[in-house]
Amino acid sequence: MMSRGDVVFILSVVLLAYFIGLHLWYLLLNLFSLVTLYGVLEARVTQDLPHGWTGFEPPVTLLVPAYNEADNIVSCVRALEQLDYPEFEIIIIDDGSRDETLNLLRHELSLRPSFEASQERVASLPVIDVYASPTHPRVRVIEKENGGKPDAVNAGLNYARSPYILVTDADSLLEPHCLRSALRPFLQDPDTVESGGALRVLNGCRVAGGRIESVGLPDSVLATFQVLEYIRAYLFARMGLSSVNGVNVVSGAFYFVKRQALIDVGGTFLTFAEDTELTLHLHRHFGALGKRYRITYVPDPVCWTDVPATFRSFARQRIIWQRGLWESAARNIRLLFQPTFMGWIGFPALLVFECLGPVLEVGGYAFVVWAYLAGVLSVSSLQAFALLGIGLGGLISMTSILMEELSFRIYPRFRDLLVLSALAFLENLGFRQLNSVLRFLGTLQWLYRVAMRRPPDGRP
Amino acid sequence: MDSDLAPIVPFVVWSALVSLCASAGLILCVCVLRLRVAILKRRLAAFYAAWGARLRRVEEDVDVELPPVARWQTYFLLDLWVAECRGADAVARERLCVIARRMQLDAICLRWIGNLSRGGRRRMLSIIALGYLREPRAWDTLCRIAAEDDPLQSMTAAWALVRQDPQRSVRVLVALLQKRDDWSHVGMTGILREAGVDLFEGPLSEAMASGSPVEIPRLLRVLSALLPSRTPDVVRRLLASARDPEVIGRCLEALVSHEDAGYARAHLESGDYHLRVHAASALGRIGSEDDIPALCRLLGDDEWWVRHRAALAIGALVGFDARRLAELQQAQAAPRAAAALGQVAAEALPS
Repeated sequence: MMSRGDVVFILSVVLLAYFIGLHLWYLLLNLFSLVTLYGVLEARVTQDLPHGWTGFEPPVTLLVPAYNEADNIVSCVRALEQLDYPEFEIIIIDDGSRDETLNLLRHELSLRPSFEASQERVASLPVIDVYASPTHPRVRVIEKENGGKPDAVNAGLNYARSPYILVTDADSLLEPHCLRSALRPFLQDPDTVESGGALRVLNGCRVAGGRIESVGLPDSVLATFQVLEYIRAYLFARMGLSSVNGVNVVSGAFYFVKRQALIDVGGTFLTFAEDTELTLHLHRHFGALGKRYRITYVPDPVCWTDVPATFRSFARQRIIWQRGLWESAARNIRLLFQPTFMGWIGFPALLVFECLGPVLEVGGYAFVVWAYLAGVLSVSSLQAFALLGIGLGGLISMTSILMEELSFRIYPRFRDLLVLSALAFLENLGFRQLNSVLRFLGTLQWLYRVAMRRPPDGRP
Repeated sequence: MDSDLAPIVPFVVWSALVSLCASAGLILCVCVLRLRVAILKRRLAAFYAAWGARLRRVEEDVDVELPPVARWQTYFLLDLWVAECRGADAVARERLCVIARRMQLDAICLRWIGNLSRGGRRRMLSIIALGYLREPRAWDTLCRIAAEDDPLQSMTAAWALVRQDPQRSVRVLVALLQKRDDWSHVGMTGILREAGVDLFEGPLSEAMASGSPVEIPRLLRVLSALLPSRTPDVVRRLLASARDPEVIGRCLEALVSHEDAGYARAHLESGDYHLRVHAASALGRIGSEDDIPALCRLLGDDEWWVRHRAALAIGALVGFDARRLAELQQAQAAPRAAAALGQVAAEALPS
C-alpha cells in the first residue's frame, strides 16, 4: 500500500516530467524551426529574380465561406480582387446568412443568377442559387442552406475550376503577395497537398484600403498576450513541425489545398476545428496510401486576423478550439498506427501536449494548491515550482521572439519588442492558467457530447 | 511533509535558474540584434545611395574611378550590380561587366558558387552575376548546378548557361529538360527564347523521337511555345505512331490547323475520358459546324469534364451566339446535356 508521501512524490514527478517534456518539445520545434528559417530566408531572395516562378503560377480558386458577414463582405471582395496573382477566381459561399450579406453582394457586384452545371465532387447541403457578376468577372457567389463553414467549403469545392484551392475567412485581411507565397511549396514540391501561411494579429494595426499601413501591438492586454502566443505556437512551432512533415493543423483562416487531395478525403468535415480535422485527415489518408506527400507551413506573413479582445469571446473561442481538437484527434486516432513522423511522434505529441495538456495542467494546479493547503508543499517549494514555470515558459517565448527578430521583424518599434519580451514572462502569471482552464472546459464539453453520443456539430 | 519532495526541489530550483538566465541572455540578444539591424540599415542606405550613383556613372563612362569596397560590402555591391545590369541596355551592361571584372567580382562569384556552405543567397546572386558576366570559367560549375535538385537554382543556372554560350548550352539544356519535371516549362521557354529559338528545333525534335511517354509531352509543350510553326509536323508524326494517352492528349492540345481536325475526330469516342476531353477541346479550336452533332453526343457523356469541354467547343463553334446556343440547349433531351450548354451560355453571356 502506497503512503500519501509516495503518492505525492509520484504525482510530482509525473507533472514535472510532463512540464519539462512539454517545454523540451517546444524547444526542439524552435530548433527545427531555426534550421528551416535559414532556408526560408534564403529562398525569399529568389522571389525577385528574373527567372523565378513569378508569373508562371497555376490558376487558383479562392473559397470564402461567409455567414452573417455583412460588416466585412464588401471590403473583403474588394481586397481579394486586388491580390497580386496572375489568374484566380473568387467564390463567395453565403452559408444561409440571416443578415444582409447576400443582399449587399447582390447590390455591390450587380449579381445575376448564373446557371452552373456543378460537379458533385463532395457532399454538401443544397445550393439554392449561383450568381455571377458582369462587372466583377472573377467573382461568383453561391447561396446555400446553412450548414457551417466546412459544408460551405464543400459546396464551393463543387464549383471550383482550378487545381489549387485557397480557403480564407471573410474577416481576414490578406497580404497582396499571399497567393504567391503560399503556393510556392506546391511549385517546389509537387507532392505537397496542403500549405498554410503565418497568421498575424490584426488588432493594433492600422488598415487603409484593405492593406496594412502600420503594424503595432493591440491596446487590449488579452489581445497582446495572443500576439505572443501566435508568434510562439502558431508560427515557429508549426514551422518546426513543417520541417519534418509533422504539421498538425493549418489554420482555417488561410490554407491552400490541392483540389484533388480535398476531393480524395471527401472534403472538409463538420467539426469545431475543421482545419485540424482536414490536416490530420490528409496525413491519415496519404500516409495510409504509402505515397510521398507534404503538408507545409509557410512562415511569411500572409494573413492578418482579429483575435478576441474580450474575455467572453476569448473564452468561447478557446473552448470551441479544444472541443474541435478532441473531435479531430478522435476521428483520426488511426494515425497512431502509421509508421511516419506524424503517426509515431507528431500525433502522440498532439494528444499528450495539446489534447491532454490542459487536463494535466489544471490537475497540476489543483494538486499544487491542495499540496500547499495540506502542508505537503512548503512555501519555498511552491516558489521553486512557480519560478520553473516562469523560467521555462519565458525561455520558449524568448526563443520565438529571437527568431522573429532574426527573420521577419514584424513589429518595428523597439517598445513593442520590449513589451513582448516582458509578456514572455508575465503570461505565465495568469494568461497561461486561464487558457488551460478554458481548454479544460472544452475537453469536458467534448467528453459530455461523447458520453451523450451526440455527433460533432461545427455550425456557428 | 515537504521532505517528500526534497529530492526534486534542488533540481527544480536549478532548472528554473538556468532557464531564467538563458531567457535573460536571449533578451539581450534580441536588443543587440535590433540595434545592429538599425545601424546596418543606415549604413546600407548610405552605401546603396553612393554606389548606385557610381554604377550609373559607370554605365556612361567606364573609366570612372571607384573606391575599394570593404569585405562586408561585397555582397551588397554585387546585389546592386545585378539590379543595375537588369535594367541596363547592352552597351551599359558591357561597361558594368568591365568594371565588375576590374573589381574582381567575377573571381568572388566563382568562389561563392563553388562554396555551398556560404548559403543559397550568395550562390544564387553569383549564378546570376556570372550569367551577366558571361564568365567561361563558370561553365562546368553552372552545368553541375543546373543538374542539382533545387529547381530555382538549377533554372537560374540554365539561364546563366544560355547567357554564356547559347550554342553550347542547347544540348545540355535539352537533355536536362527531358529529365526534369520540376522546371516550370513557361520559365524554361522564356530562357530558351533568349538563346534563340532556331537553335533548339533540331535537338528538341531528336529528343522527342527518342523520348519516353513522360518526356514527350513536356518537350512538345516547349516546342509548341518556342516554334509554333514547326509543331504541326512533329505532332502529326507523333499522332501517327503514339499509343500513350498522355502523348496523344498533349498532341491533340497542340493541334492548330483545320486540316488536322480528323485527328481530333478520331478520338471523340476514345475509351479514355481524358482523350475525349482533349478531342472536344481541339474541335472547338480547329473543327467546323459539321462537328456540332458529334460534340452534342458528348454532352451526354458520363464525365463532367467531357460534357463541359464539349459544351465549350460547341459555344466556340457557334461564336457564342446566344440564339444558337439556346436552340441547341432546347434540342437536348438529356437534362445534363442541356445543363452543360446552359452553363457555357451563362458564363459567356453574363448580361
